Amino acid sequence: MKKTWYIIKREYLTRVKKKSFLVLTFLIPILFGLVIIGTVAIATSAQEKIKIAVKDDSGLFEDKFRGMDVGESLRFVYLTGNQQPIDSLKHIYQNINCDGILYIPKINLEQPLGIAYYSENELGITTKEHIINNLSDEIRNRALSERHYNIDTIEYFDKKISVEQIIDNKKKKGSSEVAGMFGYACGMLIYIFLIVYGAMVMRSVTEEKTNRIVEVLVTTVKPFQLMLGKIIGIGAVGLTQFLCWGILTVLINMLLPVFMGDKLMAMQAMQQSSQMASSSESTQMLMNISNAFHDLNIPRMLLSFLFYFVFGYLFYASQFAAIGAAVTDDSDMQTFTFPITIPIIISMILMSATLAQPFSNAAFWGSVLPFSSPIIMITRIPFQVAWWEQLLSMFILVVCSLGMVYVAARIYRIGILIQGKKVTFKEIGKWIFVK
Amino acid sequence: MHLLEVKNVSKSFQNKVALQDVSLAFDAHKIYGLLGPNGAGKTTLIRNITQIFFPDSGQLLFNGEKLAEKHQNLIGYMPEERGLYKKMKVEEQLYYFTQLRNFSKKEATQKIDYWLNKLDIDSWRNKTIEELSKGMQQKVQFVVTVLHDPKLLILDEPFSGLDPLNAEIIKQEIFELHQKGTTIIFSTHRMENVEEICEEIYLINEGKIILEGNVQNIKQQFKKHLIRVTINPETPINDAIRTQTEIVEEKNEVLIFKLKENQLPNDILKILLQHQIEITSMTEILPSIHEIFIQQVQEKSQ
Repeated sequence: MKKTWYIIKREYLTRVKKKSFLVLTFLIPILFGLVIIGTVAIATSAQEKIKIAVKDDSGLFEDKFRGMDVGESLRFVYLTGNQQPIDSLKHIYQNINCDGILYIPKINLEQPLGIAYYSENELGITTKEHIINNLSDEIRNRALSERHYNIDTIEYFDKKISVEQIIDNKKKKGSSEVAGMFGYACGMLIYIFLIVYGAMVMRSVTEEKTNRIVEVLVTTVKPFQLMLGKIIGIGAVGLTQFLCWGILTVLINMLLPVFMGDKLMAMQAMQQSSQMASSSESTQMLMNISNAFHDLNIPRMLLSFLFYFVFGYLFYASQFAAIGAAVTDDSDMQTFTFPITIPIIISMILMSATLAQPFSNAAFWGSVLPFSSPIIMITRIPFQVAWWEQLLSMFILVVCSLGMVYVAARIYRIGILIQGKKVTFKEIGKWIFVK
Repeated sequence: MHLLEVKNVSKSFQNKVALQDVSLAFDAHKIYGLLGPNGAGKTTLIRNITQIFFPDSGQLLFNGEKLAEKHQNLIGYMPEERGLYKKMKVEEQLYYFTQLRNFSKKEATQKIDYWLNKLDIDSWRNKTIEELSKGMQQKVQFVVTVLHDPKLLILDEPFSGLDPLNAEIIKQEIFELHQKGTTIIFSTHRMENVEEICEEIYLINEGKIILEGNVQNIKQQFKKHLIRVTINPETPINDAIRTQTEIVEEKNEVLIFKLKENQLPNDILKILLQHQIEITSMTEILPSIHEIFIQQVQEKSQ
């Protein structure tokens, strides 16, 4: 046991101390943070602080333009009573410290034409939309009331329909899309981890085999200890990396408001105001997301993620270790890794099917069979999978991954000592039963 | 009692018999040569001793006890193909191997210091293996093998790839360990080393021991009763001598006599002296281990 521990320690430390590990672990979240900061900075700096003069000849829009008041970014000045024609006004708006002038002629509500904006600079997209929304809302309301429709009645019927889901007598507030997104993200993480770290185990085994250090090692430790130490050590590196990413992401999210709080607030306010003006669709979406997180059983999700992460890795890494031990040259390695990467890739395809129909037969079997359960089950859990299904899947995965470690160890112990010989699947199969 | 005894060990792989009822013994304080052509079963035998493989039948005894895991720390093995972690520093690497052999930190540091100083590689302790020259790497490999003071040291082609200077250094270390009582097994097919270093040999071919014993005894056993005599060319041999002896080779002043039955080297000397031949030197020609090896392997495979 002690020897296995030393092997784990070596595998872990040599990798964690590598520059590439440090770069990948710390730079990626920082880069991610920088991207956020950059977007916020660009979005807020692009926000115009403008003052617009409104010359309303129609008299319909008096005080109807809502300013975007936060940071005094958008203000309207009404030129009521000013009798000058627009042709002269459009040259002198600068005199009253305005950036442009919005001209609304006497318009026909049936065909509201001739509204113009005069300025030296173009309007930003948000500002332009804001103005257009204000105008069209007002024109719509006027047109309706001219035909004696009751605006309140119309607004009353203008409702978004939503279907509330009640599962097991519990009201589910979040949308299944959000649950799906979360499941997809977790499944994707496990998928990447299996492929990347599985390959790392394989490369490391082959390296020890080809430089013959294994011949010295097996005189002091059992091949099984050697293999297990390697799998655990490299897995721990992966866990460390994910943990660091998690912590750094949380830290950056916490630190961001401290450094650029006002800018973030401005951006949120900007989004909100434009959303209120347009439609409630995106706000609904935002509500959905926060509700979905509320709905998700976070401890269950985290513990399940950890479980499938660890045992899924054990299941696949031991296969990769066995392959690494059996082959010597790179071309062989590809032929042999193909059959074990196929189930992982199929799991990825099954994942999309699972998202569409989380309770289909395919999804059920995918989440129970050990080849795909680490990816599929974690994708399904946000959809409130029954406990018995999850426990069954966990039980099968534990049994199969331990079994896989045993089989891999039997292949490994013979494979690592065989040099310069092409092996076949048949031969590898025989090694399992060699005494 | 033998240090290591291999008793009737057989081992076969899927379609090949690697060892067939092999019995041999290694005693303390001796240097053994384990000879044999490629594929003879040398590595399989060694892997049984180092407990990488376990025999299909037969048993191995270490100090009279059944060979077990606890004996691993008493055996040091240097494989022919050397391997070290290329990206690891010399000291870290040595420390890792002492850990795997369950040494305390203090003991490990002492031993590492001792060997690094002894082989003059102390200044390299913080370099990674890939920064070292090949000779340096092999010295480190040697240290890995002997770091735990093994009672039995198994060296597979220890001098291959070493320059003469480093080979000499390693050779001296091996002799010193031998002086201190370590039993050494050389696995090799380089015969010049065998005659120089080994006291006893086992010749293995096709999974069987075909020849064993003391190097000098074996040479005696396979000698062809040839005597090399150098004479003064001013006193040439005459026909009388030729009739009394059998000369197999004659080159200027060097003559090679083959002893007839019941003839002793002294008899040749007497005949030559009777005819007033001036002799400058006389030696018995013993076959080299190389010759015996080739002859034996060829004979057995025919």
